[in-house]
Amino acid sequence: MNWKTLRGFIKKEFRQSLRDPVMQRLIFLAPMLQLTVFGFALNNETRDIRMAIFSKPNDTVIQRFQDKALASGWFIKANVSENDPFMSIQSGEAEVAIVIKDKKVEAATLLEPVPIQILISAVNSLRAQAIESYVQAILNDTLTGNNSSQKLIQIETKILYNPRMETSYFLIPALIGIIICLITVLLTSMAFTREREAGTMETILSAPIQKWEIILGKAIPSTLLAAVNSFLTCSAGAVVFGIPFTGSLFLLSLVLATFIFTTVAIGIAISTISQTQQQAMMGSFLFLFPALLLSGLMFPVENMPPFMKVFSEINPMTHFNYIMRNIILKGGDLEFVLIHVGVILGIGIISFYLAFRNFKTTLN
Amino acid sequence: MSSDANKAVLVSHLLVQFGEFKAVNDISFSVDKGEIFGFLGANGAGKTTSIRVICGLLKPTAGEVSVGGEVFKGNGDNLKKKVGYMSQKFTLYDDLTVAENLEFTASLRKLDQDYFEERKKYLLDFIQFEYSEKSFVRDLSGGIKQQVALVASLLHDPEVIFLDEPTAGVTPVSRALFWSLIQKLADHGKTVFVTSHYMDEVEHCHRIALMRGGEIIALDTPKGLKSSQFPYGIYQLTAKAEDITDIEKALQRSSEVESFQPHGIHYHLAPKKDNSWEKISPLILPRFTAKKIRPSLEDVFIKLVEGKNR
Repeated sequence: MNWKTLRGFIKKEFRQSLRDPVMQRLIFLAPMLQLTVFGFALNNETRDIRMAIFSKPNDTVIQRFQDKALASGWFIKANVSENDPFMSIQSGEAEVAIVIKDKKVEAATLLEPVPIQILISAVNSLRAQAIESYVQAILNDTLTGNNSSQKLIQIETKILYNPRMETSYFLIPALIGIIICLITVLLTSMAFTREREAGTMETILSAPIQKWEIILGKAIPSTLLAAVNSFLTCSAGAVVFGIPFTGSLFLLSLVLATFIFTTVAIGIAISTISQTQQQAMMGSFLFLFPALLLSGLMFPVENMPPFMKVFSEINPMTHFNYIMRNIILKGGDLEFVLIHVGVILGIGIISFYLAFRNFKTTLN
Repeated sequence: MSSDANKAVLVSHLLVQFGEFKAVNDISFSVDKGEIFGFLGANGAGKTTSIRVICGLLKPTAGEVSVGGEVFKGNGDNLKKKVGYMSQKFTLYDDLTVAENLEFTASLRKLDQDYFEERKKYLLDFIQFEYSEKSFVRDLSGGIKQQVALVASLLHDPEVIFLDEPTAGVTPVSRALFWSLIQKLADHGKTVFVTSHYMDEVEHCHRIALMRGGEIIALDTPKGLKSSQFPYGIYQLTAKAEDITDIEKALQRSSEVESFQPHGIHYHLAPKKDNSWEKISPLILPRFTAKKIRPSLEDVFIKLVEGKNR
């Protein structure tokens, strides 16, 4: 076995990608910046909901409800200029209106119930869902406290693994995956097409070079760059967002290494079927966007129709997210982690096989 | 043939087909060791495709190619070892230095460090490279880049060197310099296979194959090509008055005239037979000043390649 070619390739790739100061920044600083910016900006907690209440004066139950709602920090009082609940939402002054028409809530009896109407603006459906559940939760809480007969049943909720339900604990691991994907898939997919466009591929192929030498020569530098990067982004996640990383670092490294291997393989597979850098770029995005959307980060995999679930299951990012959450928050269940690592590895091996089969050492 | 052992390149009935299109259509020729062999033809004539097959870069559809006694096998690795190839674009990495580019080429060829250093020094001396090895390729002029690309293709000391339009887009001075290097290589016993558009520089070749539509339509020494195509020479005619439409038509139809073509501000006339000029000169001399000239390769090219397209 002669390693000269492989060594020469790796040296050349590193020289090319690390010499350019712009590229240095793009490779190392941009991911950290993205992580920080997205980590802070992508926050799906619903806050500052403008709430308007239309009720009889001195309704103590509603007063209590309002106090609780405002104290929760989710709601603020809407400034309503009109006395019409619908108009207050139409004008955008309020996002939710609580309407009790005829009498006070406390006057309700079994024979004469008091209807409470809740109007919610669903212009933003995600926000509306959150508002609905918040209002109902606070109303339930207020009303059960009011009705002594229901004290027989006590509900005690304890939220495990992420007690404060920090969104960043959920988002950051996925963001690390996205950043790795961007570097590996995008950079690697350009690897061969850039040479093809510049004509340097012809020179490379005019030497008696083996397939594995050229494929590994391109794969190894991307893998190492992505490895350094994932270490940096994980550290940033821990330092900036206080992600706990409760699981073993060895397991975490294993997962990251497998995921990087697979995404590099996908990048190379895309590279072998693209003729131009443009095609490679489009091919990468054709993979990246569905991979992102179907990874369970934005929409839960459980809610997808069965045929979409299939795509979700052959998506390495889905499995990466499963494992990262498991390791970071639950401490890492070895069997669970190994199963999903196995799936990611399988996808990687298939991609590598396809890349290897498609790559030709002649120009035919 | 008994002299096959002395052949650097042997091509027999080579066919390269892309779908229905025959890029190279049944060509056969051989190149001797130490010969400068030129491939001449318009764009799309099949020059680059032929070269790529002989270098092991492209699998032939049919036919046989052998270089230094090796026949194209598998993925062409056996051929690739014997040849050096320099493509049309002087493929070096702009963002690497001269030394780094050469180092990469050496690693592609799996050269030992000592051997590489020795060859590098020898070849940079050979091209009289006077810049720093640490200069970036992007900072070099076209002519120097081309010479460094030549060094890269010669690092592993190949028996045959293929140069695909090596002088496209460089200054005339650099072209002349480059051809003196090619000459020097041949003097050292290397076989040089070169394609070109430029008629004047192909004159340096020992033999020339003219390609058109994937076929070799003529193969000879430059001198042989000229004398076989223009056995009775060429007359350069300069019109005395502007309007010559009538006589132009008469000359083109005449059975004594092989060809009559505009050539810049002049016309080139090739007589058909030994005594043709004597017969038609009375018709010509009142209207033109005439001068007998030696035919150039350009005349050959126009007659063989472009003439047949009409």
